[in-house]
Amino acid sequence: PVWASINLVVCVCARCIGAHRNLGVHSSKPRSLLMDEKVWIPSLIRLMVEVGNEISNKFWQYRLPEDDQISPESSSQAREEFIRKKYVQRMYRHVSPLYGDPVALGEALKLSVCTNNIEKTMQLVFCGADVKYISSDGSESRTPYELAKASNQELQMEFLMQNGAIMFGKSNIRVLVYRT
Amino acid sequence: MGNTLVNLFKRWFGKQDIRILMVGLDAAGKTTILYQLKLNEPISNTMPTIGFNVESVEYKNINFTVWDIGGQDKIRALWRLYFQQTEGLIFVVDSNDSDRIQEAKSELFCLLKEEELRRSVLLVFANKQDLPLSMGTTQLAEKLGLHTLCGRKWYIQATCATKGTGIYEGLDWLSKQIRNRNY
Repeated sequence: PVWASINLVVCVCARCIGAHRNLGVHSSKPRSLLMDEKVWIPSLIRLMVEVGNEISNKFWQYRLPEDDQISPESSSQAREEFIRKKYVQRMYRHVSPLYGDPVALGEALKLSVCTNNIEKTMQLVFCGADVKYISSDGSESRTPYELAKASNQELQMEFLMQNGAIMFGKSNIRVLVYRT
Repeated sequence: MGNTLVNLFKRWFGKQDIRILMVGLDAAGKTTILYQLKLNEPISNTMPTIGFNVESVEYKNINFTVWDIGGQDKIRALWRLYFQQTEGLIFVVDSNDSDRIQEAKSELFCLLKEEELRRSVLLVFANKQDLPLSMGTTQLAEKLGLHTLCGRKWYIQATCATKGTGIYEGLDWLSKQIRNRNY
């Protein structure tokens, strides 16, 4: 694959990337491995390499029925349908036992981002954990991103950032760094 | 004298040819806009444009030749190869992508500094208005710094390329600008 979705942490083939582009950036942020350059900062490359499609798909396709699997020969329509089911409706994901409980998800996310367990963080975030979660009981005022930073978890920070934890567009830091 | 008359007749009764350059960040919707104009129907599952697409579209007695150039970061360097004789610049923005609006702005301002585009009018398509987090034209104009442009005719139009809305309103503005300039 020469394409990737940087928030879903998957590499994507040329035939599927069109469907990812159709989803909109609130669902998938498609980038080219070859023709995009600035976006590929070391922490994002490490995130993509260390997670990889195998681990990612273990989460995204945990409950995938054999009949729904697409093949390289599938039509673009079948492809688009599959991709929507997989990443928008999230039908095949490995659902967290905390699903539906925002406080429990948020608390679990706070713990998870301080470890090197990206899979766990992915599961929590894609099962509804708020990436900007702050405990309401006042015990901890830091966001998951700040906690990951304090624990030196660079990949956790990168993953959270790609999934809306901070507005990096505003500060423009990434753009400036890669212009120099 | 004869020449002047011929030219006048051409302007009044002939078709005008206008060269339009359409650029913007990757996945903003440039190709979808181009084929919506050309075919009047949405194309599904657009592959990223590697290189360019070009189509001629006739509208209100003006023959628009629209160059749609791929927007991935490394191929943006190729935009300049298409600058020559560009009368109208269409800059397409994904209104839903607030993370990259600063990047879009810096690309736009780089373009506008180019000598060859000094005289081109600027039409911004605020595309993907159907998506949930899309910004409106007022907010986008502000974020892109359009009000800070000096001596440049510009206009921002909300569009939804997959439904075909807003595109012709944009062309209307373009054709008006081009006509005004020629008389």
